[in-house]
Amino acid sequence: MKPVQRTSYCPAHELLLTPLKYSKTGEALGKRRKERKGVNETEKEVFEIPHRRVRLEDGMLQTEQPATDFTRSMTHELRTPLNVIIGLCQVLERDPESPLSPMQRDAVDRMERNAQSLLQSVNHLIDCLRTGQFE
Amino acid sequence: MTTHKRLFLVVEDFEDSRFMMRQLLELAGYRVVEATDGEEAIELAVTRRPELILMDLSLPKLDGLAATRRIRQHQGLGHVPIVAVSAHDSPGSRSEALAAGCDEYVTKPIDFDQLSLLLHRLLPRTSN
Repeated sequence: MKPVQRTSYCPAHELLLTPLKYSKTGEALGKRRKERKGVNETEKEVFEIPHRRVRLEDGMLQTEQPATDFTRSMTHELRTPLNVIIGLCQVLERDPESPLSPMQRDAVDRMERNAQSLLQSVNHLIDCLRTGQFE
Repeated sequence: MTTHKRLFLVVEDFEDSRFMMRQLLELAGYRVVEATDGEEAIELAVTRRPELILMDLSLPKLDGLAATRRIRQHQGLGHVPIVAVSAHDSPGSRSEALAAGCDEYVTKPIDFDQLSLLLHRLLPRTSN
């Protein structure tokens, strides 16, 4: 049977729809995948994530593994946009040809600070996924 | 007196990331040529002879590691500094990149100051 390829699958959706408090053992995530499987038996658990193929394990999040394909994808999907935001804030702050007004400087500074704070949260979340330890 | 601006090759498939890298590097005084996949990276490395390559590792057609290996096989490109740019910070990813022929490994997000220091370290100080 031909596997269904989902080219627009984003692992962030899966995670964001799963409350963290239920993800302690990956059970909530596993249950959701099983339910989905039940709806369409022919659908294989193969997803096309930009240039990387991730094969989801038997419904369970492999919390004991140091770095699963899932966490690798999550890392990439979350850090890449943050990289763009932080980088462009730095460009705006440093461009001598178009200096910012005091208000703009303050605004960009706050944007960068908040993006950095979000990055810390993302790093923490990724560590949790890697170790399976949710505080 | 003409000022020579060094040419860098930025290899990155995500357009917004390429835009950001170009702005950051031009601000730091470099010229930029862009490739969107591993095959184009090899082609531009050979034809444009950049003085440094910033290589994202997850790329379509040919990934960054494979592209780096191929670039290293070309005559005259054996020593061009290649900086691997990745979202992953595991020691495994780093050693994999270095084994493929990258000189440095940086993780996203790239800090402007961190990047400047790195470029100064990798580039010979003969000009600019």
